[in-house]
Amino acid sequence: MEFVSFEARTATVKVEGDMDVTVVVRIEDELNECLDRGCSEIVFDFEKTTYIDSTVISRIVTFERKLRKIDGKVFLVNMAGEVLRVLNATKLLERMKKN
Amino acid sequence: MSNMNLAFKSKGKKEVVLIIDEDEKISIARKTALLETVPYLDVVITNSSLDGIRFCRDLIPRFVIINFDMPDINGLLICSIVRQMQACEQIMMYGCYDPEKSPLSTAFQVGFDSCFRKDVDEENLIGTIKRYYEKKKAINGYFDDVEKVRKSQEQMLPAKIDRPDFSVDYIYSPYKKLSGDYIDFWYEADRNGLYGYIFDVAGHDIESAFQVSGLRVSFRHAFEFCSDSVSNVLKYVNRELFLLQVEPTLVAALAFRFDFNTKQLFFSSAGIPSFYIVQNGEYIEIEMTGNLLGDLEEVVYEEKSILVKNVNEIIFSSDGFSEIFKKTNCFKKHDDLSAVMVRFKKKFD
Repeated sequence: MEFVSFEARTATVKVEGDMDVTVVVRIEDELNECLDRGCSEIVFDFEKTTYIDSTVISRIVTFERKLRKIDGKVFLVNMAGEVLRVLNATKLLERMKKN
Repeated sequence: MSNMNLAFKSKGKKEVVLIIDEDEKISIARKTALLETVPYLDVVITNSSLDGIRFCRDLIPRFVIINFDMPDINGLLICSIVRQMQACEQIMMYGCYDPEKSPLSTAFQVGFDSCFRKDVDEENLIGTIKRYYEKKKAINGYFDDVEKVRKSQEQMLPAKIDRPDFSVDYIYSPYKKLSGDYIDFWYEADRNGLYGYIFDVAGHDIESAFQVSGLRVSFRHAFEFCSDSVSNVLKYVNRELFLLQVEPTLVAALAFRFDFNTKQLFFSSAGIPSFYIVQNGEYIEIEMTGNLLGDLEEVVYEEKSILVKNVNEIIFSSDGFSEIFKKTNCFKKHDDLSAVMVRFKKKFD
């Protein structure tokens, strides 16, 4: 898998630079593969991500909805700059921040 | 050898299929079968290898069907020569072979795309070309649909406003042909108020475009029922999304109302991070927060207001626009871009 690593039922998404419609379909495929393999937690690690667009926001919520059905969770970590601003503005960070 | 160049000049933009075969009967039968299945083709036939090469160069056919066992220059060599012509790289080259005479081993190496047995595969050969054109027709149909939807999206855009004291203009630029963004605004003289909204559905495809149409109707209804509260407008649209969809589409949105009597701007956001006020040439960013429409069912959207004094312009925008607006070194757009610009012709004191 190119963007997602999977270990101990946790899938971690990492994208360097822009995370937008051009990579989102591949991320979605990789995460779906992880769900098929028993994933119950997804971590979006934005440490090296400089930009996210609305398609990414949409997929974060889509996977949150999927995981909710199996008592799983989505977490957002290591945001800064524009990514932090967007996740704050949408209030997704409020409920998906990892303490 | 009689020169059997039954070549028809290519008419208009018809695509050409070229048949190079020494056997005239086979060529004519193949041409008849092709025209029966794909009548809008030009089918050119020749029994001369040299003419075949020349036709490839001059007509750039879509398909070339070559008999491996041509008496003058064999089919493998014809294919090899044609492949070396730069303009002919995209031609689909099909070879017809006799398994007792011509081994297949080198056919693909010289550039054939597919090979068919002379004695048994005639229907497959015609069927393959037919399927290509059926697929092509379907793809063209999709692009026609996209074009229709694109025009329809452009026709939905609001009329610009130009009044003695203010004007409202917009930027609308889909990421590709279709947009998940929409903007709307209007002035109501009896209330002396400017109303508007901007929203951004994730995606830029036909599905997003249909969602934009539905949301546009929801927003108009919401403003009819809740025109005094822009936060209630968002709440109304959010509720409609949950009523109509099991897993609602996510939408970033902003609704605003400017009261010219009190000089107050009221605004409410569902995930659009900010808007800008231009004051004495300086861009002041007003940050906002709010759940996306379609995210959670029972949400209260916050409504804020600011007094507009000494303001030249207010700019509301989708996230795509905000992103390039803030980056001086940004040379590509990632998203649909839309913005509404309200320009005040005289400043309010």
